[in-house]
Amino acid sequence: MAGVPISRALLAGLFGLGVGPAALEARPPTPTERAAIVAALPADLRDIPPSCFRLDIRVSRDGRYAWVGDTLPHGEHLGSPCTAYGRNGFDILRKRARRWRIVYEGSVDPPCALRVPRDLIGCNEPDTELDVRDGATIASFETANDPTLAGAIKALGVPSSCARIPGLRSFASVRWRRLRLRMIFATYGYIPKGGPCAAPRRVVLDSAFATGRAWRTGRGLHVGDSVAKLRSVYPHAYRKRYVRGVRPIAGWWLVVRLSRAPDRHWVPQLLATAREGRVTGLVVNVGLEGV
Amino acid sequence: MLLPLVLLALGTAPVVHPDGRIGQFRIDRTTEAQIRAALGKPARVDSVFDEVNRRRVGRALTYRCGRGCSTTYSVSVATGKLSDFETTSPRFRTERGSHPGMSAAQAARLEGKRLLPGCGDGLYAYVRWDRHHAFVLTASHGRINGIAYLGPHSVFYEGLC
Repeated sequence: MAGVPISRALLAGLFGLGVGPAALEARPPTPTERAAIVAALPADLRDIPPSCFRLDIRVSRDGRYAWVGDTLPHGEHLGSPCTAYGRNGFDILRKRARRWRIVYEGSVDPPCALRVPRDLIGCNEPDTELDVRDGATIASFETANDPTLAGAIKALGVPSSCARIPGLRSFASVRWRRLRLRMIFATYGYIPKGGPCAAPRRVVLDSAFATGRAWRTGRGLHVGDSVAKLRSVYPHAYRKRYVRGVRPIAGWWLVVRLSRAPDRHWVPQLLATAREGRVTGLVVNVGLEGV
Repeated sequence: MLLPLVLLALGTAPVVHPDGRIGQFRIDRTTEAQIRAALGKPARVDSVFDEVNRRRVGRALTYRCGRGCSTTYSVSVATGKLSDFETTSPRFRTERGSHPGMSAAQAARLEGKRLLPGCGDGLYAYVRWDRHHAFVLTASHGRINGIAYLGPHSVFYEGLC
């Protein structure tokens, strides 16, 4: 393939320049490895016309992971026939039982949870911040932009489950297992026969429960931190039971606001549950469906 | 007598494969001319515009298959090839035999997928869902009501959202 010597030259140039430890340690593939890696790529990628194709491959030092990127041919410009095939992303493949499989496709460093060797590429800790300053923000799900379940799916991906909450016909409990996140979406308006899970544009965020240790608040309080840290980060926090949510919940009220309901009760917009002196979860209560 | 007829019917039913084969066509391979040559003049042709810069990014060729039944093939201007496919026709089937009109629960069982919410109304069975492909069965009122396949060069800026 015409691109190989150029890629190697490029890598060699990067080595020479000392660009990052990743570039220093990953190696070009052997011809056998290259053939096996290319064979594992999606058909649409392999079907790109050869004149538009330049494949760069690096293999990790342990030989178990490969990075595959492609660039437009040199001199290619916007609007030319190859532009349609251009992409700024890359694939990470993992070798298992002598076969390569794609484990990540993207244009930013893969999540650290994939444990891709650092000599191949860096990694990104997932965005796991909960904030209630300007409307609730749960990772990349911003309720100020789109508070519906459809908005959450767009931001966080396909959920692992969705179920109607018993006794509350227009409330759905939606779970993203990988994120250790459960959110309740609801409406007091019309719900079609299929229930709230089948009406993702009609139901809006009621509350979110995050239990994974990666979740943190805007002030840096993580799940798993001590209650002492909680009290130092949120000096005005106090412990109380909240009974007006979908289910009663006891915990530390970190951020409190006045409800819009006529009785003007206090709502823990951000709450931390704790057990044995440790924070076990973070809860966001926004009740956007109304009260 | 019945079995050969069933087999014949199954044999001629266009199958939508996760790798992008849709009956005799294939995502990113088939041209608009090939679609027209095989299916004839479409009932309707719509232009698809980029939501950001309002440029024309594709053409949607719609073929009718009865009342409330249509199949749309979208062709990307950039590649000149089939980019997306949507149908409500019960003739189309997945590799595992699911098709519009059948019970959603049965289709989910056949596909080995759960019915989950998506960005649109109704529930989806996500047959293939990754960065470059969105292949779903859409369900409404307990029935599969469509098949959608958005390929790597989809003309729809927001995908299925």
